[in-house]
Amino acid sequence: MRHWWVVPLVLLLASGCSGVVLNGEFSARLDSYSAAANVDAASALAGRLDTEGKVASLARQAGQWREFDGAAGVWPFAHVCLNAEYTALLGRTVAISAETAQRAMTGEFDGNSLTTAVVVQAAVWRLFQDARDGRAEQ
Amino acid sequence: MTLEELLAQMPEPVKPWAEKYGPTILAWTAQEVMEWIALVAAGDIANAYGHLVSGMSNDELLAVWGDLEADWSTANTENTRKIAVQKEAVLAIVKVALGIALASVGL
Repeated sequence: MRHWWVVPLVLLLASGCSGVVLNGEFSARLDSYSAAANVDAASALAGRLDTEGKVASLARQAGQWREFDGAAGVWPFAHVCLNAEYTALLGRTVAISAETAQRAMTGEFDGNSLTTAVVVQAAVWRLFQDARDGRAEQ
Repeated sequence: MTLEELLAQMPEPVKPWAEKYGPTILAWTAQEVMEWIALVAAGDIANAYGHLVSGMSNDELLAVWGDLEADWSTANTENTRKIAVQKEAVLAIVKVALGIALASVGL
């Protein structure tokens, strides 16, 4: 076997693969969406984001989570590849984000609840980034 | 239907949900419960979870966000541990391969 060295090389490249693998486009989207969500969270906490802004933020984020869910599939053919555990987590996040956005848009949340929803969702975006990067929150 | 009967019908991955949100699920009709179990069994987690949270109060919904955040965090801790184990295993294989390669050229 002349090219035996290919086996350890492939193993080396494959090692350290996270349960979340995104292509370049979706990786950039994740960074962008997370940054925007965290700006909104900081603004909401500082009282600089009015009710309309919070509702718009929640509606936007619900659509963004759906983008990731819709692009998920089997590596290397999909833009977003997740193991079973992260597939379930993303599915749950899509569902709860959609329900939260729906209630926000129909005026069911008061100002404090809107702020809580914006802040906690920003934290989940950061955790999604950590999952992609193979990091755990300290 | 009792909580025990409900748990017995749940696919393994969602038993923790049934335990946690049992009272919400038990308030559904038998038909709704069966349809929900079918969604879960088909792997349609988004719709199944969506149905579950749609019946919650606002406070419950916001509390579920906290549960979700904790679950992401737990998954990330496990993910990090698995990556470290994979790296160690591959490094061990590479070391053995290097030893064989060096031996084959007489070093």
